[in-house]
Amino acid sequence: MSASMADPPSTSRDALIEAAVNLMSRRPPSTISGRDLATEAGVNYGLVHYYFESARDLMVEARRLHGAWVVENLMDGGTRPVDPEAALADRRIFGFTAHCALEDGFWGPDEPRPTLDALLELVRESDPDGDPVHHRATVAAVTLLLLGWPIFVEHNARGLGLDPDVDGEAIRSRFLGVLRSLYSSVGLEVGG
Amino acid sequence: MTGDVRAPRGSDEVREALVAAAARLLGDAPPERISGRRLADEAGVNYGLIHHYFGGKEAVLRDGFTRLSEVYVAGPDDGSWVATDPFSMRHRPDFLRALAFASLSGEIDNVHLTHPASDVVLERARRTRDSDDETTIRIDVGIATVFHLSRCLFEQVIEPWIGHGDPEMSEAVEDRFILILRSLTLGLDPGAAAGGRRDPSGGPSGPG
Repeated sequence: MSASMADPPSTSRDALIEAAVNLMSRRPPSTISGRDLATEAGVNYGLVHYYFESARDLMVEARRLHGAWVVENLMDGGTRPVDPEAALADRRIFGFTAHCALEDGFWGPDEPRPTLDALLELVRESDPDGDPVHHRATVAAVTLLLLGWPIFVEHNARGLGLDPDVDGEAIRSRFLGVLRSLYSSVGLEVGG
Repeated sequence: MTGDVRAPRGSDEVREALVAAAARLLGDAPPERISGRRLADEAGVNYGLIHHYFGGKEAVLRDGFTRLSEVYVAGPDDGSWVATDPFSMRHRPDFLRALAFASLSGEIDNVHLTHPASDVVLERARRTRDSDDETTIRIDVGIATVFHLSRCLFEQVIEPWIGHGDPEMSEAVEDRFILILRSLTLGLDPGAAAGGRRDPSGGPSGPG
């Protein structure tokens, strides 16, 4: 106990970042405390302040790492587009981003957007002589549709007299068709 | 409350003050995080009056949503935009954020919201799509609405990347977004729309 002067293992830091991603996928950052983060990570509360200035700093760092995490894990390091079916199934992708976007101070206008850049790069490789406006509009539209899915789909379905329990599969299938159409307009194939 | 503002009195004033307070607070936090006390405070009325006039805070919040929706549909006095314009929700960030908060927190079942411009858009879609079944048209209008709301909600996240310092690119992409929105509503090919074609044929196909 008393002999331990070494840094705690970096896996605790990683565990805290992962905990932040998990919690921020479900709740707005302003409702998440340092204790919530420590509990979710299964680490001692003191480590939150050992590694970070504050719980908010930890969450800002999670947000900053998130784009690179998506490119690395869901785009195979930028070699393929995010699979839309996986994106719809996993709230850690776009539910997370939506919560960050709703709260002030999580995004600077000049910060890099690694996922958008990686997708644009793929589009350019696939369609080298294409129209740059088409390329950027496609990348942005795909991203906006995927961002909107976890927030607005159920609400809109009910508002339009559809029942997500009954029509859910038809909605999903139509939505994926839209994404495929956008991707294929620049020569990219996704999903099965 | 400042000294020169009179506390609301009587049924009409108290109800109005509470609904207006709910409409203001819904854009700041998910509905389940807006307490009755916060509502009463914001309205400048006694906490007990929520129960007296509304039976509970849920009814106040529901009326607050309705108020936001009505204000959005009515549009500005100067008529500079109307709710059926493409991406009109960017003019009402308070309503947009209220929808997003309520929806993300899963509280939407309790407030039963309809996007206020949906009926008009649905009617427009039906007129040009008489061969499509009603469910498909509703789904497509729903997807178009998702695109509309998402484009407005995430404008500040994505706009700097789209323009990357080039205002002409921003404008050109905005025009494509309008074409994409139209193609979604009408069941046309959104990929062709992204490419700048007002393609009258070919809708998005399902998987398989």
